[in-house]
Amino acid sequence: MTVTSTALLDVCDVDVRLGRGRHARRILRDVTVSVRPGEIVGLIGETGSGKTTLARTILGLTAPERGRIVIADHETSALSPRRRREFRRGGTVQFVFQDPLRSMDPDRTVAQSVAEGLQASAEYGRISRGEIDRMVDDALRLVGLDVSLRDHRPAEISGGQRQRVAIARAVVCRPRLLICDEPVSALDASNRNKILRLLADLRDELGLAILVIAHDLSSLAGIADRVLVLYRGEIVEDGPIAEVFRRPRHPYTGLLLASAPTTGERPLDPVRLRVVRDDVTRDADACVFAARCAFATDACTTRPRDVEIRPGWRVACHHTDTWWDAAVG
Amino acid sequence: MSRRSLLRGTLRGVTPKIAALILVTVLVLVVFGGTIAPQDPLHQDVAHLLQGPSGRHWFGTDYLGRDVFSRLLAGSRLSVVTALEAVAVALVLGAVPALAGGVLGRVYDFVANRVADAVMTLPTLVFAIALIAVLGNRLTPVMLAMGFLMSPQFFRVTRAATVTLSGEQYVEAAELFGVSRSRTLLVHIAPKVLPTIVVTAATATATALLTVSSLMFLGIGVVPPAPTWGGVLSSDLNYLSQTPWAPLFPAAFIMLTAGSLNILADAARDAGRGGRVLVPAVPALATDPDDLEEAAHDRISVA
Amino acid sequence: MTASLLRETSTATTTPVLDVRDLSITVGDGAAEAVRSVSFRIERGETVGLVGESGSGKTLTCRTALGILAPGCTVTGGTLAVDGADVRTVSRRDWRSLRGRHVGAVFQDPGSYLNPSIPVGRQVREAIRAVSDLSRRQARERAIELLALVGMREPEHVYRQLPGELSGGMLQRVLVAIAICGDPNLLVADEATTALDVTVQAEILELIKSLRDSRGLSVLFVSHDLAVVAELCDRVVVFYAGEIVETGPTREVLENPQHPYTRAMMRVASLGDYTRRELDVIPGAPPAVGAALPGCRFAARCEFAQAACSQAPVQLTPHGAGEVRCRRADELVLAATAPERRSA
Repeated sequence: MTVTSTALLDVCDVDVRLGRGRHARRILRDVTVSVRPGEIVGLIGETGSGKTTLARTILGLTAPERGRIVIADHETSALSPRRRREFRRGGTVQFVFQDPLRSMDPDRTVAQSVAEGLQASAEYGRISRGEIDRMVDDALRLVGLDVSLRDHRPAEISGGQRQRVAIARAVVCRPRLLICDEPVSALDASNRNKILRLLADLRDELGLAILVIAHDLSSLAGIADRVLVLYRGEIVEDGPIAEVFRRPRHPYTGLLLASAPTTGERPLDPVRLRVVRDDVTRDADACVFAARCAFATDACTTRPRDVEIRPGWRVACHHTDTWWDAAVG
Repeated sequence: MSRRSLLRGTLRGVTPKIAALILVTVLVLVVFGGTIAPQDPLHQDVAHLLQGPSGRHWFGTDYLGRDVFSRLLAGSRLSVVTALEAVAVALVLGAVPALAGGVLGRVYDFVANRVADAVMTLPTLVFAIALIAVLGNRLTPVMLAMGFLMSPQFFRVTRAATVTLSGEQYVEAAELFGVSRSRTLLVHIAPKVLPTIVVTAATATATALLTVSSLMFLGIGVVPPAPTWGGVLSSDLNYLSQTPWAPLFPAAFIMLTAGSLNILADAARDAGRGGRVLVPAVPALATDPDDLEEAAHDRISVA
Repeated sequence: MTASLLRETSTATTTPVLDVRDLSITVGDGAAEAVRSVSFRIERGETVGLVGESGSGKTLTCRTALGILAPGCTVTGGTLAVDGADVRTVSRRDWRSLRGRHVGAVFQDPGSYLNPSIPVGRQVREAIRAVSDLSRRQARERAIELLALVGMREPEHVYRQLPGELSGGMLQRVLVAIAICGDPNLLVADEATTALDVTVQAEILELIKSLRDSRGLSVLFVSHDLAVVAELCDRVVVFYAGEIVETGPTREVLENPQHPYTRAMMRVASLGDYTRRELDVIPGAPPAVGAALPGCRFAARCEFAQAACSQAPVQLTPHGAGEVRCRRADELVLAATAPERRSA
């Protein structure tokens, strides 16, 4: 699948604060993300990283304090509520929630839930009941489900099937960008791979761009082209996934990889990477990871600028060239 | 929860079944009471005043010689229907503005809440009397007064349910699809609020019945000589020394009806919660506890 | 059985910490047999992992060892002995002395096992007092020691905090502290790290390892994540559709699986290699819980199945250092299954 160069989704220098007045906390800082048509981009963030806030900001559920969100050349962060609803009905972006049990009305059937995704179809008011049914059945087949499920309720089908229904209603109107929040965390390994394969197939068949938000690496393995690593509201690394995983350029990415359970060899020892630095200040102007970084020095009291390893791979670290050798040595 | 399983859950156990039976009987009386009454409720048999229960008069006669049993049967309609009408008024005045609040925004919500607070402070009796003074001592003003005074109850309950449901993820999902707020209300929220409203209506009908009976007992809203339960109760008390058993019969009708409504309302509420009083520490008791794994996996911590 | 009798039997070092023999469990008030004739042992100081999909019976087995089978589930055959005490004969009262002193447990969602309005230190203290005669003050001292033992950097400070103020990893450490406060011989961890961030999961696994090494704690680790089991366990027991299909030392089972299901699981699990692009799946789905099948329960999904496989029940037979339930175990040489490391 060729990837064109103009971005479908552009998150530019976004800051997001939640809460009011004195209690406002900054959740995201200077976040820049771009997703091109046909790309599958993974965003990794642990608890407290702000990944859910980022998803909500992209979708327009939260307003950024600074920066812009541009989707298919529309600056969605600047839209009025009415224009925003029109944009949503345009069906360019669709979202798959983490928990299909909560994100689908338990009293409505699979067919009814999937048909709700057709609200975004421009002709919704004008297409017939039969046409709606046909499109719903098409979407169900597209995600690998038997159309006989259409009259069941979400609680009556299995977890893997539910997740497919959630995906079906997101793709029924043929969006250009799909955002998935932890699409496979609740599934066992085989079902997880089935859903990941489905997402990759949908990307191939529909020319979709997909942003997958996850808290662990195995949710992205095998399908993502690029990975962004989010730590406490800041992007610390953004690059091609296989290379980043083989030789990460940021210590936090290294810690994530080192911590993942494995049967194979491990170049990085998590115990060496995992520290709590009492000697490093937790200043707002310091590197966001410094207080947990085994390689932090005085230089890390200032925020690092993005270092471009090469086009398409950037890292925010003062010691990006040296920490790896120190870690494996 | 499907309607059928809710119905089945409500009727589980002996007590709710008896309550349902009583209410069905009352319903029959409301419709056919006048026609199945053995005697004319208005007929005054002057020769047999204040008689005790006998073969001819199962509940005896009142101070005008009228058959009490027939009066109670015939009086079902006015008593129960008035109560139901009051509840209908309360429902419309209370639930509709609360549902609208789901669409209309914060300012409206604030104003509506304050109005409900204000109405709740009005004393029932005084308000009813005042309204009657203006509109005349008939049933309609009584019904309107009670409906108006009971509406905050419906408003509160409906608003709480609407607010909770508006926070659900599938409502947010609908918003992301571009579904308009009024359609979301219609499709996702209103059907789920309905059971709560029905349960509230049941308890409100019980309250309304008692209140109507009390008002009629006091002579408010009574339209003599048409029989009502409260009216029969009232006339009995004037002659308590001669017929001490007499108030039992109308009181029994009132209490059994109100009690049955409350029992069914409680049963419906419990059934809506899954029929369990104790909530187990693990989520949903599936027949295969290994499904608990899947259910537990569904709860993932979110950033 | 009285508590003192239990303690006597457990000091015999030859008694396995957990001895499961031909355990069978039905669910749904007898409607379906979810666990059929399962047998395995955990000796002193051993760490054994139970792996399998949801519905495979591993969780039910684990819950039987803790005496917390859900209503409707019954043990219909076999025995399960914790430190020599057969759980079928243990009364509710005796369970209270078993739990805490002989077996401790940690589960998946730590927050839901703690009272949100009581400081965590007090909850640990009360757990200690439930299994010992210590006074409140002594128990408090012990609680602080335990919190330090499970890796809290400021145990006195954490003692006073509410569950809502602690992260998922710290909550799980508190639960580990509660689980071991009675100095049990067996720690049961049922998906204990599943919902945690990967960095936190690594820390908790390391904690369990260090407790095992320093106290000779045996561990029963239940997980659907093969990689985690591979990291932690000496031996692994593979469950499928209510039965054990393979057991053996972890390294051997992972390098040379004898059962086609184990091999399929290996293929599917990422096992830490995130650079590969192939996503394997196991086609089909497991049989319905309790479904009565004449032959091998994996045959329908097995790429090596023959007609004879579905005709007669297959026994679990010794094989190398472990056991396997497969007719063709001797003739099949399952290719090395470490996922091919190809560049993307």
